[in-house]
Amino acid sequence: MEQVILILSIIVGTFSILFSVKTLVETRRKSYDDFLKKRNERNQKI
Amino acid sequence: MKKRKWFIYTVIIGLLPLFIRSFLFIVMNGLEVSYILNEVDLVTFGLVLHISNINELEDKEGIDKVWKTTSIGISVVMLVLFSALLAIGYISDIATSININRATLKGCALFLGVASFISSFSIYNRLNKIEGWNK
Repeated sequence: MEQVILILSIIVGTFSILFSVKTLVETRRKSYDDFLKKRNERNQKI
Repeated sequence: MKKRKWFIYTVIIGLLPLFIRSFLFIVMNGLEVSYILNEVDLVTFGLVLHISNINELEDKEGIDKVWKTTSIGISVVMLVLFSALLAIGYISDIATSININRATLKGCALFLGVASFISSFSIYNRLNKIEGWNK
């Protein structure tokens, strides 16, 4: 019984971590894009 | 702000049993170090994090639907796994005749607990940033 739970835990846990890392990277990228957009708008006003 | 609230109200509350066990370990004599890390406490921590994820994502509008559905799906699967771990943990407590490897159980709970923390952090981090964009 523990073996089944162990294998399931490794599969689900690894998938969850990979998806989280993907989410973190996407969020970081979007945040940086937003920063660049705001900076360009500010520069255009000047 | 949302991330700080998540940390205070969810992570610290979820880790409360661990803090209490650590306090008891310091105060009382004759306890082993393994007493601090209990599989049922780790499972409770994971359950608290995933319930809060689902609750937070459920009524959020204006975010990527595919990401939202995947996140809720992962949380539901993790809840099922944690419930199974909790059931095995309780069975191993009451039925000593059934041979269950508690070290494996503890390893699974620890790994899933860490995965849950990273998952929950990434969800709240994204929600925090998205709400920051909408302002």
